[in-house]
Parts: sequence; structure tokens; C-alpha cells
Amino acid sequence: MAWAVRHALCGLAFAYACLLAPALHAQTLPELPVIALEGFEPDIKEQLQKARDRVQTNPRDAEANGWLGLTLHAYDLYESALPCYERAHLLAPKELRWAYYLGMTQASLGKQREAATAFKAVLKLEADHLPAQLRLADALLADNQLSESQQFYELVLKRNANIAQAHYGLGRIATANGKANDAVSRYRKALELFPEFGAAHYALGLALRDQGLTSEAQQHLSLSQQLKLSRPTLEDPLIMSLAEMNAGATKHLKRGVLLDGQGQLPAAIAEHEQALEVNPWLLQAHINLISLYGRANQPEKAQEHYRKVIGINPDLPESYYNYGVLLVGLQQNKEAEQAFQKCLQLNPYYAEAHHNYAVLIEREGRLDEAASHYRKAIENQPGYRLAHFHLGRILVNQDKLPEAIKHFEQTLQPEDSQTPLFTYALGATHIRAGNREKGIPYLREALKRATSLQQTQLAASIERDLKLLEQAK
Amino acid sequence: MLSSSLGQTPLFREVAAETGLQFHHFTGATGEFYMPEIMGSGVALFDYDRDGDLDVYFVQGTLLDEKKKLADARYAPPANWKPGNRLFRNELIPSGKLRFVDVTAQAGVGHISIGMGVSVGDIDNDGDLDLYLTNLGANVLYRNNGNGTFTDVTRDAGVDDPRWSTSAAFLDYDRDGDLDLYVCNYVNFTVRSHKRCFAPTGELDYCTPAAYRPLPDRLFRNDGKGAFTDVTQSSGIGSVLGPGLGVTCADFNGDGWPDIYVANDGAANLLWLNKQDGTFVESGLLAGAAYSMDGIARAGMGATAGDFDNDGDEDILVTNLAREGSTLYRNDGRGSFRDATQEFGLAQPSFLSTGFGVGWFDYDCDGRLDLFAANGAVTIIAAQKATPYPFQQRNQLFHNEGVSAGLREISATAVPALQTPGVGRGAAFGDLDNDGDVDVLISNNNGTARLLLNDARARNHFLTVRLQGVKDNRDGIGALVTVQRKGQPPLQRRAHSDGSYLSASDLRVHFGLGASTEITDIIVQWPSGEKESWPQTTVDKQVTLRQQTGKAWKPPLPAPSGKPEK
Repeated sequence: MAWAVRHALCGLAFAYACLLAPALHAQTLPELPVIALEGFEPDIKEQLQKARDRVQTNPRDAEANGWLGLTLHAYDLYESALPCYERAHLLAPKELRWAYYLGMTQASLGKQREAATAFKAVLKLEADHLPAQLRLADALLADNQLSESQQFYELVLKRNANIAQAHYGLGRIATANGKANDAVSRYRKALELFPEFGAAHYALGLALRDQGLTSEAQQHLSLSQQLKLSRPTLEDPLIMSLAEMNAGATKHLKRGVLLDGQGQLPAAIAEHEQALEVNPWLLQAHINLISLYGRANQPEKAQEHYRKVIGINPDLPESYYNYGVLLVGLQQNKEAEQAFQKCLQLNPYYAEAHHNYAVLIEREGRLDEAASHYRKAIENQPGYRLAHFHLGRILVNQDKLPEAIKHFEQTLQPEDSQTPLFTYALGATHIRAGNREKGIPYLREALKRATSLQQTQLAASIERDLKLLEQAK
Repeated sequence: MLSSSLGQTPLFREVAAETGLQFHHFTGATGEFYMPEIMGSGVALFDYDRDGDLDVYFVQGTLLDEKKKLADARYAPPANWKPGNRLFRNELIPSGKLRFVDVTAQAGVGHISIGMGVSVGDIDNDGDLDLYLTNLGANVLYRNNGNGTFTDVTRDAGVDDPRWSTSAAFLDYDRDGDLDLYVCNYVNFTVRSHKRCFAPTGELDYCTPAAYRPLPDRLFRNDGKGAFTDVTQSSGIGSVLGPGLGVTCADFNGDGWPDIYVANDGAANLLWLNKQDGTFVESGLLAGAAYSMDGIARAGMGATAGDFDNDGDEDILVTNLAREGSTLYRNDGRGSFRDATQEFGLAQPSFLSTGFGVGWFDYDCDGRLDLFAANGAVTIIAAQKATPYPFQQRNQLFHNEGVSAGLREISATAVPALQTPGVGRGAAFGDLDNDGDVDVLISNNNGTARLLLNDARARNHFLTVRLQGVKDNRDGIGALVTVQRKGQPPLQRRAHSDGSYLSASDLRVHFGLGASTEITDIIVQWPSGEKESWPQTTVDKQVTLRQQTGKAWKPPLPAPSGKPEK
């Protein structure tokens, strides 16, 4: 009740200053932030209210202030978390975690110099705190204080020479100082310790490029693209505590998407379900689950989520698209067609829906219509390899060979298990167009690739064609 | 010279209202958080009536949901507000006073749409500037009739795109003397397929582009007879796609052919190198211009190219989201870039800003390109949640203090007008009052436009060059102009209207000359590669250089500050 009255007095906003000022006697403490809570998920709102209540009851309690900071920090509310941590740190300067979180928050707000000060405070309390050493070096590097940053990276390595991040940091410093060879060695060392270090591949790629080693540079740059977000992690209990504070649905959703990307289907499903436990209205989680359950061979569950999405919002093309894919898997092609059509009604620029719809109607012999949808798929996603391939096939059947060739030419990259088939199609079309000189090399290339990939049936077909061509000479 | 003026008189004055430039952007927001509401819009500075001063064109938004009415708008437009884009004529010539008059109706350019951007170029080389408008929905090409009116020629020209288009740029990529058109497309959002997105706290907010699928950009080749051909596929541009927001065209690798740089939102930025045969190859990754220093894609919004370090090549600045900061890609002269954001002191001051419109321009005429960024958030700023429009940030001005000292933010000390936050989007740069220094016009999302009139030139000198192509495109878009100063290294600048975000800037080429009062030569390398020189001795004026009236220039272009000659 008391809260309700105060809340009314302070309006919709969370006016900490208004609530706490009389009791604080805290001229030296920064003011607490004003946070408007309306719109927040109920659990999060409650979590923040509890944290606030603790501060309200004990405004000079470091733990209460720090806890509020941590709660805000968990939801990326850095500006609001900052004064809470500052207060906690001032009230309990010997409590390592508040200094650490303060440094993290300052770094997240681009205040690298202040972050460095906070991490130095951590190191005064525990000189060997490895995560703080590393974060300090990172903050100094971001602040362009190269020599001091170098000292701390070296300190990290003195304790443990196998910390890839420190080698990477030293590489960055060497690059900034124009010491190209040193930089390359450091990046290589970082990759030796953690071969999937995306940022190190990127930095090494550019360093090699500058040395004129273009081919190796390209290899590393290409790897950096595949491994963008992959970086080594340090055991850091304070970070884990922070992550545990986040009770939001979007956290689970993000993690679920990440796990799906890593091919961890059951774990991805579990995270999505957890997201829906927190927020049953999170449509993206339902939409993703249509696909996830479909791929996990649980069509009933997938259909259940499809129905839920449609019940909440019948206008989301992605739900129809995912449902269409599910139906194709269940061999319910007519229903799948309808789903893709519905998707396209809602979003005519949905390349995958155009493609899948085209595949289905092509099976019914509706070739012109299918070709038109393949074209639309390509219009909206010009590099859509399968759409080029299928359209090329239809064009071959319609004897529009030059156009078919143009589309097959678009299918040769990237090099993967499909490349032999696509190369074969291109070569065969050239031959059909009367251009043996162009066609035969493609067939040979296709044969070579099919053989190396042990695609025996395809290799046999190509071999047969090549023999026939030889005989027909 | 600059330091004496700092802290004394403001470098810029905000004069939009007092000059009659009254434009309020309407987002069309009705509470659903449709993504396009927060993205617009752009502004153009161009002399549509060829009377010698810059006129202004603003792109406007409208309600996104056809079923809604103006009364449903969450942010009602001000009284006397008119829907549709607006054209303001500058009365500077002949009145002598900077004053704008709304001539939208008589010019016939009041297009009503979910407007995004505007690009300017003389598509038919008839001597007047045409307009290309991008929208969520059909784009529009307005051909200037040369009599103060325009005609919508989109259909005949074949440059429509019904999807969500953003920035566009005119360039002569095939060097055939007419202007081709590059159009950025963003994501496959439609009002019907709108998604609800949430902040980490579960609060409804605007989506990121990751909620949708990126769309391919488009390249249209001008056939010289009023029509364009879509060459997206054949040129190779269609081979890589991303959520494009910003585009700037320049010769990044110094081979004499225009290349195209595209800022993508949350995906690798693209550097399309011109292969000189009508096709392009995407080289952003190897060039080091696709990602930030750690190899991660950022939320590229605006992009601008300019020789900020006066070494004779085009460097790129891309504005990104808050907590990413802007990225400065420094060119080594051969089209290889290095992320120099930190080195030049830009990382920290730009870190908390979500940047959009951006431009290199020499505001104090000291011979070095300075930097302006229009900022404004795209998701709710927690600390502003109790305010009516919680996306407001301050714009920023950075003074270029030279290669050793970097870029220093002077917004707070030198420009009081920059202390007023807004939701900055488009920014266009040009000398609106023809006084020899460059002014800045900003379009604010759900806000009024701001005109920052430059008073900073102090005692520095300038030269403004207006190009007149004969064999090349009429305004020399893409031409490289070199000014040789007595006793000083030469300066190189490019004629362009592109860059920034959704906007088009003054086509005239501006040179700040510092203390230099003697120019020995002005050399123009036209887009076709032809080089001509003109002798010039006096400064502080505008000159018009008509192609084929200069002296043929045979030697390589003079190399600024010790760079190898091209």
C-alpha cells in the first residue's frame, strides 16, 4: 500500500530520487536512476520492484544497491545500473564484485578510462583476478592506451601463457604500432590456442593482406566469416551470476536461436519453450517452434504452435512459411501449397516461399507458373541457388537454352556437395545448345568433383554422357 | 585560426524557422511500432531552378496502415501541417536574403508515401536536376521540366521498385556520360507482415532488421534516352544482398572507375569494385571495409566518403548503432582499408550515439575535412521512457585536427544548437547562403528540420567549384577536382551528391584553403578519365568549369602529401 501511494506521487516513473532522498543522507553517493517500469514483462517488473524495495529499505546497504544494479544490468539497462554499482562500490569498496560489475558497465557505455579504474580497483583487492586483468587490458586498448594495455596482457600471459585473448590483444597493439610481423605471430598464437577465434582470424587475415599474402589472408577472412561470434571464454563466475539474473523471455529466445544455429535441436526447443513459459505471447518463439518441432519429427507439437500463432496473429507470413515446410515434410502438398500462397499474400517478397511454392506447382506440371515464382524468388534473393537451378531446368525443357545457361552459371558457387550436379547441368545445357567446347570441360569438372565426393551415381551418369560425346565425335 | 574562435561565437546558428524552412516530419506511428516509422527520412539540397542558390526538398512520411486515420496518429503533426514531400525555393538570389518559400504545389513534387530518401542528378543531361525518391512502396523519378515543374517519369524510365528502398545514388559507373542509379533496399517488411518485437525487458519496441529478410539492392543503367535498364543481375550487384541503408560512390581503388560502397544494417558492408566492363565484384571483406575491427558486422546506417587525411584517396565513415560507435575506414590508396576509428579518436565520442546522416565537410575552411553526424535512437532509450518521444540524441560535430591529432568532438563547446537533442536522420551539406562555407541541413524523425548556418569560416579562404560536363554528365558527378596551392600540398575533392543517409548534398565542390590565397591550377579529372586544367589565381569565390574549356592535362594528378602518384 505504501508503495502504491508513493508510486502515485511519483507518477508512472520509478522515481528513486523522490522515494529515497529524505532517508539517504548520502551526499557523497550518486543519485539512483529513474526507471519507468510500464510495459515490462510481469516477472521482470516484479524482480525489479523487489530489488528496488531492498534499496528503499536499506539505502546505504551496498548489497541492496549492487543487487539493484545487477538486476538492471541483466536487462542491458546499463545507464540505470551504473549509479547503483557506483553506490555499491562506494559503500563497500572492498567488495570485489561491485567494482567488477561497475567496470563492466562502464565499458559497455564506452567509458573505457573509468572502466580501467574500476578494474584496477578489483586488482587491488585480488591481484590475480584473471578476468579483471583481461578486461582491464581490453579497456585500456579500447582507450588507445597501448603501452599500459600491453603491460596487462603480458601480466595475464605471465600467469597463464595459454590465454588466447591476451595474444589477440597483443596482436592488436602490435598492429596499431605498425609491427606487422609481431602482430601476425600473436594472431597465429591466439589461433593455435583457440582455432575458432573469429576475431583473430579476421585480424590475421587483414595483417596477411597487408603483407601481400592474399591467398592465406583470404582463407582466414573466410574463416572469420564462418566463426564471427566465436571467441574463447574465461571461467568467470561473476558473469554467470549476471546471466542468471535475466528472467526475460527474449533471453531464452536468443539462446534458442543460437543453439539452433549450432545444430542443438533439443536444447533449442527447450529454450524456446522456456521463453514461452515466461511470455506465452512471444510469437517469434511459436513461429520458430513450428520449424524446430518439424525438424525434430514432432509434427503434432509443430501444428500446436502453428495453431497458437494463427490464433494470436493470423497475419504473420513466417508462420505460414514454416507450416508449409512442415506440411511438405508430411507430404501434404496441397495444404503446403496453400500455406505458401498465404505467406505470399502477406509478403510478396518472401523468396523462400516463392521457391517452395514453385517446386510444388512444378510437380503438378504448372511450369510457366512455377517459372514465374522461381523468377520472383530470384528477384528477391538474387543469389538463390536452388531457384536458379530449378528455373534453369524449366528453361531447358522449354528449349530456352541461353537463358537456362545464365541461371545455371549462378549455381556454381559455393563449392559443396551440390556443385557437381549443378556443374553437370550447366555442361549438359551447353552441349544441348551445340557448344561442345564449352560443355565438355564442365562435364569433366563435374565428374572430377562428383568422384571426389563419392557421388557414384552422378559420376556414372556424367561418365556415360562423356563417352557418348566421345563416340559422337 | 580555429582555436581562437572556439568558445567565443557559435560556429553554427540554427535558422530553419527564421528562414521559413518549416518542415515537420510525420512518422505515421499509430502504436504498433511498425519499423519504417523510425527510419525516415531524408533531405536534398539542390538548385532545382538553376538560379544559383540551393533549394531544399524534404521527404515526408505518412500513416502506414491504410485503415488508420490521422486522428489515430500517436504523434499528431503540428497545425498547418501538409501531407507529402515538400520543396522549398531559396530566395537568396535575387533577394540577397536567405529565405525559403514552399513551392511544392506549383512544382508538382508533393508525393505522398511512406517516404524514405531522395537522390539528385541530371538524368537526361538537359541542365536541370532531377529527383529520385525512395519509399516503402513504389519509388518515384521526377524529371525536372526546366520551368520550375517536374513530371513523374518513373514508369517510362523503368526505375521503380515496390519494396522498401532507402538511400540511392547517381553515378556514371560505365563512364558513358550519363548517370546510372544505385538503389539500396532494406528488408522485406510489409505492413501486413509486421512483427511485434520486444526489448530485453519484454517491452514492445521497434524490431531490428534481423526480424526480417534483407532485400537485394538494384543498379539501373541509363540508356541515355530517358530510360534505364535494370542491370542488377548482369552487373553482379545482385549476387550479394544485405539490408542496405547507406550508399556512397567513389573511386576507392584509384583505378579511375567509380566503385560503390554500401552500409548494411547488421550485415557486412559491401564494397563493389568496378571491373570496368559493366560488372562489379564485391570486395568488402578483403578490403577490410566490411566489418568492425573485431570482424563483426555492425548496424551500418549512413556512409560518407572523403579524403579526410588529404592523402589523395577516399576514406569511408559509417555510422552505426549506439554501443557500436561509428567506423572510420582509412584507405591506403589502393582500396585496402584499416579500421582507424580508435586511432583518430572517434571510437569513444561516437560510442553511445546511433548515427544516421553523416558527412565529411570542411566547415572551417582550414583545408581538412571535418565530420558531422546526425544521431537518434531506433529503440526506446530507457532513461527517456517518460518523455513523449524517447529516441532523442544529440548530433555531433568533429573537428579534424590533422593526422597526428585526429578528430576532436567540438559539439558541446562550439555549437550550442547541437545541444538540443532530436531524432536525427537525413543530413545534407551545402552552402545555402553562398558565403563560401558549408552549412548543414538535418531532417529529424518526428521532429522539425534544422538548418545549421555556418559562421565558422573566420579568416580562412575558400574556393567553390561548379562543374559543367559536356561529354560527361552535366554536373560532373564523380569528377575528381584537384586544387594546387602555392606553397601548400594540393587538395583533392570529388563532385558528388550522394553519401550521408537518405539524403543528397550540394553538387558543387567546396575547398577550404586555410591561409592560401594563391591557386596555381585547378585540375579536373572527369568521370570519363579525361583531365583538364584551368589556371586560377584568386580565391574566395565560386568558379564554373565547363568541360572542354580547360587545357588538356597530361601528367598524373598531383599527389597530395607524399602519396604515390596515381
